Amino acid sequence: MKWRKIAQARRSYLLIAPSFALVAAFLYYPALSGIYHAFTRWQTVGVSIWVGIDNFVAMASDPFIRHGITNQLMLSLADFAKALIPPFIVAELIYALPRERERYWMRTFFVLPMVAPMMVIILMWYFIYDANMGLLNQTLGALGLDSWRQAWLGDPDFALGSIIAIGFPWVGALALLIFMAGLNNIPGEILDAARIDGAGPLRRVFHIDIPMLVPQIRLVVVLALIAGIQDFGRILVMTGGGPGYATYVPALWMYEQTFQLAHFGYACAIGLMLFAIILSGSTLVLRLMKSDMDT
Amino acid sequence: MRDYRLSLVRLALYGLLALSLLPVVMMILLSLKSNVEIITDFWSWPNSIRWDNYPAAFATVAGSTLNSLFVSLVSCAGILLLSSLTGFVFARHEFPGKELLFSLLIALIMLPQVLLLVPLFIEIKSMGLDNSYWALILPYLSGGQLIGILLCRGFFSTIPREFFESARIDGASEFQIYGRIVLPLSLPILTTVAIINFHAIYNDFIWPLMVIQHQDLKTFAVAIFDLSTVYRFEYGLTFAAYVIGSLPLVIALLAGMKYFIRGITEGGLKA
Repeated sequence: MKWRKIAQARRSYLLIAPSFALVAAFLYYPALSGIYHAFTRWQTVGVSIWVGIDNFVAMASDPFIRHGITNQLMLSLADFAKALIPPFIVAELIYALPRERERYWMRTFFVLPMVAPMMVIILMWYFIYDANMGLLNQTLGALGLDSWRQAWLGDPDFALGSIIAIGFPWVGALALLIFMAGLNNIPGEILDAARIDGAGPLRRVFHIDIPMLVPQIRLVVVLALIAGIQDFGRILVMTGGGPGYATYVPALWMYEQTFQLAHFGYACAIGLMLFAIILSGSTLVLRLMKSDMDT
Repeated sequence: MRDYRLSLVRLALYGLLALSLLPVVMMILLSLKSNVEIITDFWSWPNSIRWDNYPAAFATVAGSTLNSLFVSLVSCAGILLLSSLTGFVFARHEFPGKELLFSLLIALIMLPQVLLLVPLFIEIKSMGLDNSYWALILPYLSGGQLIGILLCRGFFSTIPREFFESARIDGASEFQIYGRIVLPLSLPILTTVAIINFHAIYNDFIWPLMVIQHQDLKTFAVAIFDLSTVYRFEYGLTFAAYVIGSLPLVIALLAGMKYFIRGITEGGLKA
């Protein structure tokens, strides 16, 4: 009986086959290969030796990993804050404008910075931070604040903070639009009821808007999580991980293990560790937000 | 009292907007100034508008910009086709194992790229696909389609059944239903998927850096990074190159802006 059903559904299977072929070849296969090879010594393509948990033991005493995880934690916390707070504030400000037309133009203008390629933004900030010619030091000099001038990327005390500051004021267009959509969908009756009860704008934000926006917040969190930890491009360009260990992150170390040392097995182990962290982190965040705010 | 509050809101908004747009404005203005002018008088308006940076910049980054544009366009077209087709099948067809297969796809949305980077690189190299557009397009297609499938399935299941049935009674084939009803209705959602993916693919840096070494095949992000070390002090030329590399994103955003904003604000993107 079941076989006949399957035979009848042949056309459906055929239509979804291309999607599944791609996913099997370029997502499932490399993922499984990565998990398997995390437990091997793998230095030549095609030759790998099972070494159990040796790679993970080595990681525990690898200073690049230890410093890297601390740096990554700071970067990720900052990335979350940057992904959520500025777009939310701007969405609320736009929402406070009385006329629909003005709101429309505002959100359109805030989407415009998307036209600058990411690498261009990163390189422009590199230019801003340059110790001698850089815009930041020149401006500080012109304002008579010479003592504030720094080697922004060359000083271990400032390098990580300088990388975090890239993209100020961090109004992400996608998150902004997602939040505006959420605000527009709050039923008018709820807002009217709040107004009649005498709730001011701030109380409305905390007691109505934020609880009503939980699905949108969750989406932005997930998007930030997916984008954040693998984004070591900015670090590769700005500091290459230095000075010292100051801006190393595990993903950058994984990249260097692959391309400079051909330690593919060790690189896979770093990847697997990051995967485990991201997965548990996102599950935790999503669960917390669910139980906390839906009730 | 209310007026005063509103002015504060406007002040904050315009301030934040100015800061957000500053890199774009700076990029355009500096691309029109000579090197000397940039060094001696950074903030000034260009003395006279100079286009001479552009021919040189065009010669250095036109090729890589076209490479990025080509890869992004082909990947996006594939992503749209696959996500609407597969999304449609999951929304409208009934077959054994449907929900299991669907979760096998959707679970991958949360799969971080970092786990794949090294094994996928070695896979692509063993297949002999490195230094070709396939090394970029195939992985982009595989990963990019996932959110599209999720959104399209959600959207197609909201289209009332009668729509399809009346078309079928009128003698439309499955293909015609797909082409004449499903695709036009889903334009906002598909444009949103296209713009998000175009943006992500065009901006990707690490993966192209890993799999493309041939000078002629490099994408804009990698090429402009290489240039930043070569032409460190050619500011005018560099900024003109930035502007040229931004053009595909300008065009993509202008073309899709209306649907993009509508797709997100009315499409009810949620997680």
